[in-house]
Amino acid sequence: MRNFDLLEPKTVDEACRMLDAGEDVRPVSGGTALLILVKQGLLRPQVLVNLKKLEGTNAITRDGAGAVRIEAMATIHEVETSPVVREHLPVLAAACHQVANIRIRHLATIGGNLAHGDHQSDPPGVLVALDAEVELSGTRGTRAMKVTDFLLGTYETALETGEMVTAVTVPPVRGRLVGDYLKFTTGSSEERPCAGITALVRLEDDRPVEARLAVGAVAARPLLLCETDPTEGALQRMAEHAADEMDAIPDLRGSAEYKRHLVRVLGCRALAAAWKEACP
Amino acid sequence: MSAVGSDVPRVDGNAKVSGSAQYTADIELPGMLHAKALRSPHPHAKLVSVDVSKAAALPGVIAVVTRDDLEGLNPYYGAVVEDQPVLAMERVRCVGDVVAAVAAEEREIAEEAVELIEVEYEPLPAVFDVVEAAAPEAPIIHEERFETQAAIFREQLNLNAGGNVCSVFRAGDGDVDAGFAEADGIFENTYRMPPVQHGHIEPHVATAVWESPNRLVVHTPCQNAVGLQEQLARIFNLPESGVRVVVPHVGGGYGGKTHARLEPVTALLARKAGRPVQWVLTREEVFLTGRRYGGFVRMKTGFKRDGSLVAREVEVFYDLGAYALSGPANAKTGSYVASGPYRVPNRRLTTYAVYTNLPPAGPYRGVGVPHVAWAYESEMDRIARHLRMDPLELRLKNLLQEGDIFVTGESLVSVGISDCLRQAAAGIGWRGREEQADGATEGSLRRGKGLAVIMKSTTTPTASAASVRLNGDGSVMLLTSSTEMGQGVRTCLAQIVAEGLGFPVERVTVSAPDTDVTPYDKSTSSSRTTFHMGNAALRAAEEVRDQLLEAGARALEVDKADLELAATGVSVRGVPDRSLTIPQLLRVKYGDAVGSIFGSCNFQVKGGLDPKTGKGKAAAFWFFAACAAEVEVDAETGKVRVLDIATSVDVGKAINPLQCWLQNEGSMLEALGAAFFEEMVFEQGQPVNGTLLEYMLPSMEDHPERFQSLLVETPHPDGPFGAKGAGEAVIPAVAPAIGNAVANALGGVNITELPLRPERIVAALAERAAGASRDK
Repeated sequence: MRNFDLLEPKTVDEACRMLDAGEDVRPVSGGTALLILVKQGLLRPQVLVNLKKLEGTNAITRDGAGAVRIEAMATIHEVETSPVVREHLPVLAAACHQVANIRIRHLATIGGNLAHGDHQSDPPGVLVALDAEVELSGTRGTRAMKVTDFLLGTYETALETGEMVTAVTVPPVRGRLVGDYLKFTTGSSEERPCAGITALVRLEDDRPVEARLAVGAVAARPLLLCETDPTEGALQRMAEHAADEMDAIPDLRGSAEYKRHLVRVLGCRALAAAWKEACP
Repeated sequence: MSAVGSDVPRVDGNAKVSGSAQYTADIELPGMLHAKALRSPHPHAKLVSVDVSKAAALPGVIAVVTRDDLEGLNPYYGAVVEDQPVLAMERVRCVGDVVAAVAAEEREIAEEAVELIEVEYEPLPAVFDVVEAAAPEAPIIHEERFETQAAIFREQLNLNAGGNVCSVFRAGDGDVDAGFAEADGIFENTYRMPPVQHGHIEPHVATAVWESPNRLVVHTPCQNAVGLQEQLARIFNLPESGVRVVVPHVGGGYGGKTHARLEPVTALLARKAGRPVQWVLTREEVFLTGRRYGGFVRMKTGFKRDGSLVAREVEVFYDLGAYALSGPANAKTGSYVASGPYRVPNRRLTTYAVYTNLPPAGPYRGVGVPHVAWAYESEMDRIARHLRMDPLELRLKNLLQEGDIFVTGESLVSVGISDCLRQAAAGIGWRGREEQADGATEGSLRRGKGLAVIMKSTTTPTASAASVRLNGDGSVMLLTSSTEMGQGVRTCLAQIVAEGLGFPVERVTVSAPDTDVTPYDKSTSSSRTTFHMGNAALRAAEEVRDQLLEAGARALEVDKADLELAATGVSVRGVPDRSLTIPQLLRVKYGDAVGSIFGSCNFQVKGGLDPKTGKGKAAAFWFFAACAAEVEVDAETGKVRVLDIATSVDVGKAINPLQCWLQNEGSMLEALGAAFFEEMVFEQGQPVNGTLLEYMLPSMEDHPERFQSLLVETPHPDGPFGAKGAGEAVIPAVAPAIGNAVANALGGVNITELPLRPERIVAALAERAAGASRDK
């Protein structure tokens, strides 16, 4: 591995100014993705900016309105074990619990996970299903956008030079959400997902008012389908629609056709399970 | 408590768990340089020119070596065929072939220097598929043929078969055509097994230093210190005593560290630099350095209505990659067991070891057997289904028995195979014929059970030597070149020596291999150590024991038989007062209470096969194993969950039952990876998944819900305390047991190609559904 300089900013502003220096300067937090790229020679940064030591950037809180805010340097393990996340966003806790293995989860951060833009990952699809927003800070100020707009493709995000992810926020849920995350691997259980399916049903006054199906890891970006005032019969159509819509990327885990087949099968199952939970 | 037969804790366990164990990469010698190689990006090309001038000029670079530096040396080496150049000579034969190497003050400098080397290649036509490579029109990978130095291989293998076929081995008996003519049914199918990684945690690594121009010292995690010593001595024109190979702790081998891999280049760099050099491969380089042979099997079986096998014809192609290593010997190991552990009166068995333009393979646990076992055990279940027979009964009806004459002409002893199979089947609650009826279904989930049974030889003829040293304080040292690589050999040998002396195990220390000190051993491979080195160690211990008893008998004026030996010394049986301590015995023996008492043994097993007839003695001992598994298949996604798995091995005698369990559990999990998802994928010779991110190994999360390691103990008359080898036994049985369980879960959908990836299962089900709708 090549030598590099390591900078350790104290504040977000300072970090952004360092990152603004150009493409040879890369941020690092957990390092679980970046170090692989550096070792394989795919990335040769001259300077790494360590974001892990930024003060006060890993809190997980819920405001009075019910929005959950997860600061970017929270590790995947902190997210999966957070009492706030477990109580209010159990589907996110479940997905984070299934990321890689315990060693990776203790290092990798939620901000790094999103900024890396790896489509074969568990959290992004769930965050899209939860309508989450990402907060960005840069030398030209701060901005926020939906996670679904932030993720542009494989290893592509809306991040600009000199900009970093500072938090991800899940807006308050009207009523309550039921459902789960279903991870499917074709190899070892620690493998990145071949498909990651999030199926949620939103209830108001115990009445299902919305069904959501998010599919991660299959295409370059997560796909989200929503159906208002759903019926049980509509759920299968949603899964089939998702399978037809997916621009599945073929790889060693499966052909595009097989992956679309998985979306159909697993989408149906996940939605049916969510429905059963919603209307027992 | 007797040392042999008890669960003695691992003698190396504490050091490894606490992190104090020193591995080769932990070695830091004064002035040590770091190496990096330039590797071929082409699968097959003429090497036109190599210009290292810019690399050599980089500050911090001390030595750069290319083919020009092999002048005056023996540039080609190999365990069986000397076909592998230390550095690429006139051509490169696979992606990853080492063209040049750099030694520099820091690894980063060596990496930078490698990028400054300018190479001109002239690409040549290449061949990657093993069957295509064996065809006469395939591009030739080795223009010249190189002889082997080892007489044992010259005499026992059919080398230089022509084209890319490095060797052919034939075994057989009876009249195959007549056998097929009398058969009531004939099945003919082909099977494939992909190349897979060994997956040792520690990569290949070596540290080399020249103490003088005639004295090379190499530290390396090698399974075969003496073999490596011989090869390095030959390359560098040194006597064997001019090369010292030292083996520190080893982070796993599984066959991948049996032969010279990076040691010759590391030694060449150290020689040119005049300083110690360490080379640690990256994981990506390990993928280009060793693997299991891919295999293609063609199998034709004739059987009677009552289930008896009457004829079998098998052809196997093993993909060696660019260099042979021990491939021809390993292909031979697959040949005589290609019809399985069954009585088959008429058979023709042929294995081919074939060069391809893929990175070199080499031995991997089970060597040639997993490939043929995948085929013959899948066939047994197909035949059972066809005949509506219980797959267990069909196997028991045909299995070899004690005293049977095998295809090699030898009489079989210690044949616990039927017991292994019965025990494994009972372990998962095998019910009989109904296991092939449509099983329990729940939604998309289908359950099924499967069986498999295997036999394997240990490499023969071979020798192992050991020396036991008793110190004045009563502590004991076993000097042995057997490598501890996780399999527990140090603990096992300590137990054998302790038992031989009647001492507690804690008194015995077992050395690591160091060719300056430890005597000859063929290699730590082929599950041979407990049997061969165990025998040598036991006899060496007995020689020490005899000397002590003789001294005691002389001094105490009693018959030797009336004495007993313990860690404290000798005493007259029943008269503990009449005794002598170890120092007193030394005084009796040497006239002074100093010195040590030595015992030694060179344990030799003769045998081998005539390559013309395939007859002779293939194995010092045979090992037998069975596996039974229950799986749950999701018929919609193709995902398989292993609910229950039982393995059974005939170990002769379990020296350490706990280690047998651990060995078999590890084998089971390792083999599950290859059964379900492990596969090295190449496109035009380029690795597609050559990292541990893309090529996944099983993790503890993949461990089946229930596992049982069962043992059968059929004492072997020649084994130490009746023991046989057990190490690899489980490996070849797992994939076919799983494959049969999946097939039974799905009502007879057979998949012939490993691994059993979910998509492959879904596709096989879709194909059957399409077939069924066509039939209507």
